[in-house]
Amino acid sequence: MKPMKLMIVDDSNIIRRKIERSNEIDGLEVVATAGNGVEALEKFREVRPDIVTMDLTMPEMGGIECVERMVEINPDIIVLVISALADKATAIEALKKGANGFLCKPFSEEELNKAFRELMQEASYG
Amino acid sequence: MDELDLQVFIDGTTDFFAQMGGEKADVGTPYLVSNCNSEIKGFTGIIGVSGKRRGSVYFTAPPVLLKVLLMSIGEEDTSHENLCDMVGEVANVISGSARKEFGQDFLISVPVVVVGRLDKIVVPAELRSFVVPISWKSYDAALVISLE
Amino acid sequence: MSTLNLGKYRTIVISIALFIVFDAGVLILNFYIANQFARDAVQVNLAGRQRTESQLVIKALLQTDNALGSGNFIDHPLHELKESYRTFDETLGAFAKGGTILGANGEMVDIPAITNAYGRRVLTQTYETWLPLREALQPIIGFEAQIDRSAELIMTDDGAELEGDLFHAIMVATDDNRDSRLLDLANSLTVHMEDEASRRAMRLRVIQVTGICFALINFFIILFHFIRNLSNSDAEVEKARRETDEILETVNEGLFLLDEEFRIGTQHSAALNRIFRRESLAGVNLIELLRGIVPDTTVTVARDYISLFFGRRVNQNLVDDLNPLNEVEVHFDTGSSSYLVRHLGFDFRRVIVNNKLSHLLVTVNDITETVALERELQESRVKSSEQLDMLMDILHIEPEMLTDFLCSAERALGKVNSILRRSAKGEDVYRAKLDQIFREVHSVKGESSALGLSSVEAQAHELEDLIADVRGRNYIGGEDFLPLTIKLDELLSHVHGVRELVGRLIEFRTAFDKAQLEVVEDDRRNVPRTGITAVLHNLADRMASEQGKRVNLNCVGLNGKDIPELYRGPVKDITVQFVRNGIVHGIETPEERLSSQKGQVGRISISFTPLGNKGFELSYRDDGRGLDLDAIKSAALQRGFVSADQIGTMDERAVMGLIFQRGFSTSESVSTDAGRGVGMDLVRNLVNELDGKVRVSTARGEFTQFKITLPALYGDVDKAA
Repeated sequence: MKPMKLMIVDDSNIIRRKIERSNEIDGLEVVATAGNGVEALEKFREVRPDIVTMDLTMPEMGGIECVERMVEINPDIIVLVISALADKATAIEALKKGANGFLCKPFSEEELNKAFRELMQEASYG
Repeated sequence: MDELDLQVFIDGTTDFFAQMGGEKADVGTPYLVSNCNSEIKGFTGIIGVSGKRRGSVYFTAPPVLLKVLLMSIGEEDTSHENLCDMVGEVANVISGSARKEFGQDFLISVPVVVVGRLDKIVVPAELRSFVVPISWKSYDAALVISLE
Repeated sequence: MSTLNLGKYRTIVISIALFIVFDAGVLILNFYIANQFARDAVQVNLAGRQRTESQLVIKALLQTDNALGSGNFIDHPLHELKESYRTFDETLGAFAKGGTILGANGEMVDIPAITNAYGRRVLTQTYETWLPLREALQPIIGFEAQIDRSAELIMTDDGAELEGDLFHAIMVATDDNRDSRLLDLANSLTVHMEDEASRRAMRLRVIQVTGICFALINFFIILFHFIRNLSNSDAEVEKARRETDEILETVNEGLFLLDEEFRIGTQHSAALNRIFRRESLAGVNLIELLRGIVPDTTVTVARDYISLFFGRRVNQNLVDDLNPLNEVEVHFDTGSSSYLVRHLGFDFRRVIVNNKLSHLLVTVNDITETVALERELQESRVKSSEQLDMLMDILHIEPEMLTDFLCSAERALGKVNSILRRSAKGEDVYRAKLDQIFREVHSVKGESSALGLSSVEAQAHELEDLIADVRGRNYIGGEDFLPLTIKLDELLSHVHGVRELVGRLIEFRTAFDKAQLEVVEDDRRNVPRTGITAVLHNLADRMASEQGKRVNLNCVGLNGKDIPELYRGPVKDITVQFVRNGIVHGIETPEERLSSQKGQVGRISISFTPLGNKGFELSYRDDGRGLDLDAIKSAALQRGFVSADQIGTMDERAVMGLIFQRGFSTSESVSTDAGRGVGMDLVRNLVNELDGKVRVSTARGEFTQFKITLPALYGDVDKAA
């Protein structure tokens, strides 16, 4: 099976690397990372990822708007919002705009992998 | 205890007298009591509060103040029922303004009127209530705020 | 599709088909029987007519003859004779061969030939009897009278001939009782045919009844089958329903289905009513239900969150963290202007039916107690950390002074409250109140400051600031006092907290004193960790935590009676010194130990061993960094114990001996625990006094060991050994 393409959007280098490192799931391949919404959209058009992890509070363009645009471009895109619990309402807003799941910061490797597995399984159904 | 929270109830009370009573009510110096029954003045409207803070707010007034208040709004019938209605109405206005001010984080109940001592009120022993004396036309009422 | 579905309805379809077949059969039989009855009736009728006709032939014959003889007209009797003859003869022919003849009511009827044996026999006999008469009647039947007057007729030749024929015919008819024989034969044919008809009718009726019976049986089979099937499936449905009911009735959680309009489904667990404290919940809008019991902000977020589940995109396993209702505080208006506060936990799951999202399954639990426990734990944690701060303040204050202060502070604050309470109006009175209050608060502040109760002092100070702030205003109203009252409340709570803590300390102290007493008692019973052992353990624990080190102390033979009374005091002093030095200088921090491949926990072993008549050995050993000979040398040089020349000639043993010099220390600063330089020389003095010996051995980074031998004590040796 062709590996699914993962794109990581987060303004924190540490988080980006953590996701990259801990991502050891078969069938998932990191194809791009971005530090803000504008960059994320650019690369999104370019590499056409299948799954995106999305931070909500970023410079230039926030996560919510970014999610909305991505879903417009590719309605099948799977978006995992990764954010702190403090902005529950913002996260729910992002999910309303089309994100598929939420992972609370800080997260363990195990939690991240579980989330990816859930999303990949869903993708194989739909 | 948050000063702003208390101020909302006090403002609700003074607003009522400013609008309905025709004469401004004076607020005395607030003090503390550990048993609110000592402050009860005959007729009491009770508002339940829950949410960010929990407890009750009482507006308590002697019959004579209520009678004068009734007459000042042109009501000649100063029967027991009307006195109850009157104190309930003050409590209503207070709870209304409280609801408007912080309805987002609080739940404010519909007021209940009690005549005489408050039997059913259970307040934690260590909780002190704030008493805000309200005087209007030389009559004394009080706002008792008892919130955790 | 429909043929495939026949399966379970097979029996019923076949039964119905059979029922229709039987019904149709019975119906057809009915037709047939009715038809047969009609035919038989005709035949029996005709057979009966033959009886009459046979007699009518004879009668008409005689009348014709009589009319002719008496000269009357013969037309009428002759006509009757002809008619009867023809009828009888035709009918007989029809019976024999079958045919169409004129029936009794003037219609043409079909007659089948009689085929059974008995019938044929009677017919043959009838023919035999009839034929001679028929023969004789032929000329008469053929006679055509041209004239109608018999008188004249008899005169003619025809008449004479006719008379002759008549006579002959009458002769034949009466010969051998032919006429009565004909009657008998016709009669037996009639009876026979009647019998036949009734027999056939009986048979047909039996068939008909059988058919009806079959149809009825079939009908009952259908009925039974149907009723059984229906009642079976009813029973199954009923059973399933009862099971569901039982589950919903018994389960402790609130369970219900929620549709896209947030409506609660018709069936829900009984617990749901208890949880929401209301009767009818079916069909109620959950959002509206929440609106009364949680703040509006929560309602909005909850609504958004639940909506997510009805969208296709969200993975339900990845949004649990966002559930705003997973631990929500709800407020039930009790109707008497107070709220009942509970905590509820909601869980939402999608229900997929036929690949389509039909509902959400919602589970609600009343988690009030769990939340309360957690909160209590949290609060007690916060409180204890606050109390710890307070503790630092009050530990060094004499309890009596503290109690005095608390009383006077409470008195002063109570006075502040009564000043506030005193009904008063007007600017001046308010200002006077402020002054009085300030005085009271200031005294509290002063006293707390004197006692070093900084937390109380700080709060009193804040209250003073607030008073000063109000004083500075141009106009003072009652409301301006509100911040003061609030601060007063806080200060009272704080003082109350201190009093509570003092109460607990006193309690603790009483318990501690009691425990101490018990330890002394235990000493006599030789329970571990008493006497010197207990002292050393306490010392080691305290110092290790102060130094950020970890130590495991092992004492052997140091309990009360193990040591001769004479040595007890010195042994205690010596071992205390060893442990103190060992932890400060010898044992490394856990990090250091880890990096030098040692366990994090340092080990100290102390033993006191009787050696029979050789006396006793007190041994100390730690697995710390060992004695630093270079540091000892430089410290000894610096403190002027030895000269540089002397140092050069000293061996290891001599260098180690330096630590026992009065005032020696390698530590640069002074602390209660080490560095004052009064440690090891004290050891040496004690050992010298007791006429003992000290041996030191050490390995850099590995251990330090002191072995002290003490002489045997006469009279005490046996006891100690």
